[in-house]
Amino acid sequence: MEAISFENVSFKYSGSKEDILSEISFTVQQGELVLLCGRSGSGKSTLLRLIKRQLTPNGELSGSILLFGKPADRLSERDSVSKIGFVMQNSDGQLVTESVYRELAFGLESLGVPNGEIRRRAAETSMYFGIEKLYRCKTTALSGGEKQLVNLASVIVTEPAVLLLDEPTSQLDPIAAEELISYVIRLNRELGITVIICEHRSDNIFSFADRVLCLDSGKLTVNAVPEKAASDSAMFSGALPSAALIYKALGESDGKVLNTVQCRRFICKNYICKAGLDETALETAKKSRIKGECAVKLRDIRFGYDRSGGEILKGLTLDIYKGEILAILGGNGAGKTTLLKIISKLEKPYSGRIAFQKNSDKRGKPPIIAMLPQDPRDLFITENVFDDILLTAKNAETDERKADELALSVCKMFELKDLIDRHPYDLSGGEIQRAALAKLFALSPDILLLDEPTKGMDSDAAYASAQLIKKLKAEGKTVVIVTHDTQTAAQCADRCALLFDGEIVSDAPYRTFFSELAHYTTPQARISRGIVYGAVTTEELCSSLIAKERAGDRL
Amino acid sequence: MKIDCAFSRLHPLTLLSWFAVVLSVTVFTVNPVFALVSLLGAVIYSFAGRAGVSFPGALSQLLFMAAVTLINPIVSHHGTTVLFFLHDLPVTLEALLFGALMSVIITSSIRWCGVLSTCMTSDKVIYLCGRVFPRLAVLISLTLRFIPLIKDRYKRISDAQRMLLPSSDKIISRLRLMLSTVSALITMVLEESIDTADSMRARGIGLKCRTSYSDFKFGTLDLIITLYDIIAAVYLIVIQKLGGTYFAFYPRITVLPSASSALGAYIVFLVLILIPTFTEVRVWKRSALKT
Repeated sequence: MEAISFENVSFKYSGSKEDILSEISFTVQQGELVLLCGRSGSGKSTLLRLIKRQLTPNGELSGSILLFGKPADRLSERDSVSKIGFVMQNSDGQLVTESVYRELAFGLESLGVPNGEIRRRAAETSMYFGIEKLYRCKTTALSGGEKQLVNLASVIVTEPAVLLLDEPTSQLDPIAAEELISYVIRLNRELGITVIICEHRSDNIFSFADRVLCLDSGKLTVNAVPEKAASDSAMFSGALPSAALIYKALGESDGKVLNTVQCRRFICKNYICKAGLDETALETAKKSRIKGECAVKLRDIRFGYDRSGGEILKGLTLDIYKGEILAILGGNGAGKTTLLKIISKLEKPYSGRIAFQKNSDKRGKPPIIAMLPQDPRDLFITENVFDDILLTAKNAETDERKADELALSVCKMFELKDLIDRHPYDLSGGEIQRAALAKLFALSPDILLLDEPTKGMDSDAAYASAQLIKKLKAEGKTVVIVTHDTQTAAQCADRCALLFDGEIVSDAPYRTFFSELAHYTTPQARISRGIVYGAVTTEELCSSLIAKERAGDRL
Repeated sequence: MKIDCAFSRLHPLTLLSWFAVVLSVTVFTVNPVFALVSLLGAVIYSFAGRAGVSFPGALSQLLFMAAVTLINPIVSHHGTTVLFFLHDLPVTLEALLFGALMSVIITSSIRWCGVLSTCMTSDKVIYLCGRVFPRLAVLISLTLRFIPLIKDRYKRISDAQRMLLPSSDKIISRLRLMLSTVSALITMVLEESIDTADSMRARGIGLKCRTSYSDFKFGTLDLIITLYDIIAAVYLIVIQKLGGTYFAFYPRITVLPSASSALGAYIVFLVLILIPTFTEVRVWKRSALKT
């Protein structure tokens, strides 16, 4: 039975001249798990919102949408609410009530379900998702992953037949993301719920999907099973799992490898590490120790927000060298943002010392520190990007003309020509990051602290972000980034440190760091563990492997 | 006062009716017996609630009571029994005693209102509103959700903005920081509320026949207490109308009415005021029996 059917659907926002979706046709059978991918701005969100009437934006629709075999407008309001569930990206924005149990009851209250039945369904759903302990908690006390799980549960409690998810894990750390995706897969496999999910990080879900749809500028370019989609050239490569990308980079085009296990098996069977590469890599990795002057020295820092929260940083010691890019990794709640606040002097530790190297070229003044928060929008207070940058420039330079020149020069440096007249909230993730960095640059900082720079970004944007960070280093700045994203850290960091239990547990040049860790590391390192030492990115891995037949020939 | 005390586990309607009667009697009947019984009940309950009486708390309340008692004769000069003259104005015994009564009434109201605020949690308020207007319940719930969210966003934005300004302690710059933070905060909250509105619409806020969920059970004890509240309220109103508990200070102190009807009213109120203590003791006894 068909659950959803699109026939030549085109959609244009009211007031817009271009179609955001053009001539989309596809069918989703009941019980299918469909992965929808594409670049940011390709129309994925809009497509999902067309299925749920309450969330459809204003605009002109042409073509027909069939839901459960009937035209979409014949579906009653009640059925649209209860039979189609929608989980959005922003976990905070979706929560409506102040307690978890009330959140679970919300949808059922709207449907006029009596008390006893609400209680029964909420109980059953809480048990399914393992959130019984959170039942009486306040929604503000939950972590990001828990919030998103509660959002999913409060949608499932109405027993929908179709579940739509619009990038549900983009704001979550990897562990929480995996947990959420595993529940989505279970919902599909165990309860037969039809799922359409939009995801950038497809490592966990690609091989589980029944079908993959790819949108490119509003057109449907791929509609196939995962294996065919992986080998399709029209497929957006950012949506492919790392294993498939490595498979492709090694020259294979049949798309058979979709996850870590398959990739390892393939590599072990057909490739060996180039002779001698292993040992030399090991030697150089052991020898390289970043040398240089220390920009910041942290010794035995202890800090906690309040008595009840306990100590977050327990005797932390860290050196940050001048001109390096240091990536600090750690789990959710490990204290990474807290550490940045301590370095930027927003919070004072109650024990321990921080020493900043005095700038020899700035007449002995302490270094200027600038911090890019997790949500760069926090930095913007006016309605126009240029005005905002000018405000900061005026703080740095008292002379009006010099401030103007400074603002223009940072805009040029970060290529903001197209963005200067726009409202900061209208910019995409990558754009607002560039604008925010330009604003911080107007302060002429020596040390830049970036809190989760690639949060919510797709792989293309994350790559661009990594290059931008490298550019900051080229300008002579010391950069400290705090992130969950092992791939970004591998792409741009010189040195990595692991924050755990309030201390720095591991601290090494990036290659050594990722090669020594077995689990909390890049997918490429996980795949190549035991085969090649020190290959933490796709390029490194492919360049250090040689096909067995060819190696055999040589020998 | 421990929040999860036995009294707060009663049904919201019971609590509402109990507090309505007790607070009305304490505040509106200007009668020393009622006032003292009310205060006594509050003090006994604070022991029963296992919070005890903190010395600084008790001391400051006693000082407050003394202050009110002494201030009244200075400002009010009615009454016939003059104690002494202060700047040609008579300081009377009646005024002093009236001051004492006022201090007792105010202190016991404050104490009981404290108990009310811990017992009437947001859940109960939402429940009571939801019985009449389910949409109002949603509104209250939404407000309670947004307040901590706004506080958190404010801190985030102000931290980010603080880093942009050169450090200075001038009031002007701090004021500017606050204004710019608030303006950014409003924009951010409005943006976020679009998602919340979407979420509410997606889950059917617009549908008719909305129910309001609650898991409060109306048990036997709730029934008994609520009935007693209603009976006591009716009885006390009737006695009041008949003038049984009438008390005046000016121009002369009324002799305490010892008619049986007045005594009945006092006893009814005493039982009423001891209900919270009774609920606590009941739980103790049960748990003591287990061990």
